[in-house]
Amino acid sequence: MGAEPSAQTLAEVLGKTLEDAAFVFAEAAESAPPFAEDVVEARLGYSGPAEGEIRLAAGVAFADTLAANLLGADPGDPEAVDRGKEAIGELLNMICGILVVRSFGSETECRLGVPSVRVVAASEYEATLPGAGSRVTMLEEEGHRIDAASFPALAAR
Amino acid sequence: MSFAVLVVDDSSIIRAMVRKSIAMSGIDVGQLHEASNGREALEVLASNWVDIVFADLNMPEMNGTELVAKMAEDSMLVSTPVVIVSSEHSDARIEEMKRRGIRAYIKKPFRPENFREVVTEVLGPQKGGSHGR
Repeated sequence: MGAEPSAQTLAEVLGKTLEDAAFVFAEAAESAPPFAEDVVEARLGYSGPAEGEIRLAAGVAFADTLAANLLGADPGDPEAVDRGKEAIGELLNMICGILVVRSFGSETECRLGVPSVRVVAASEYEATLPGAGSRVTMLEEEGHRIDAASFPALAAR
Repeated sequence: MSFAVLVVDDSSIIRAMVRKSIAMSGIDVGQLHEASNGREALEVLASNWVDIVFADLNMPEMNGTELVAKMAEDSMLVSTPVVIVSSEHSDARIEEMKRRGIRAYIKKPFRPENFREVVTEVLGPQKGGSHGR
């Protein structure tokens, strides 16, 4: 991919999307604290001038908090309970939409797939990270971790 | 008069976000229908009057592009305005969908005022309503 998003671009887009959609403020962290719980991981492929996949991951409890924030509900609100997987999938959808325009330009047609989301053990998630072309870990104000990573030309590897 | 709205998205959390945004926007909504893909949307449209459709692009079974095409082929639905609500932001994609007949495009993440602006633009300020098919 000629325009793979850098870690800085991932951080900018993830931070802005969290702020705009979920009212969460996060900053890039140089060292990543390990996830202390299972991880909700979403993957979304894109195709256009190049193909690849963007992934977004957060702990299950923080994912539920993000769901509540997306809905403008209090954490624990019945409307938001157990919707963390959906929240991570939709946030990834928004992030990917912005990233492909930044990477390929607004005049270039680029299609997004449908997010696939799973809950995995933290160790299993961490084992996938060395394959990333670029990635960023961000911490929100209360120290919850959220990761974004780019896996370019996945099909060709 | 209140509007009848159809929200089409495979994500129930996005449908809930759209519902809340529309409620917060001050748009007077009489009936709010939901569908999780284009096929379900056509079923809703076959039996209900709808003033405006807010539809996602990427959905399983029948996506937003296919829904717009099906509505364009149906003489009863061709004039029902469709607004795409999507994460796809490129001008190329928006222009392609406008050529296919959509009336407006809202980018995710959205705000309540985006819905207010689009409804005013497409249906006019405080006009129209659930007047039956």
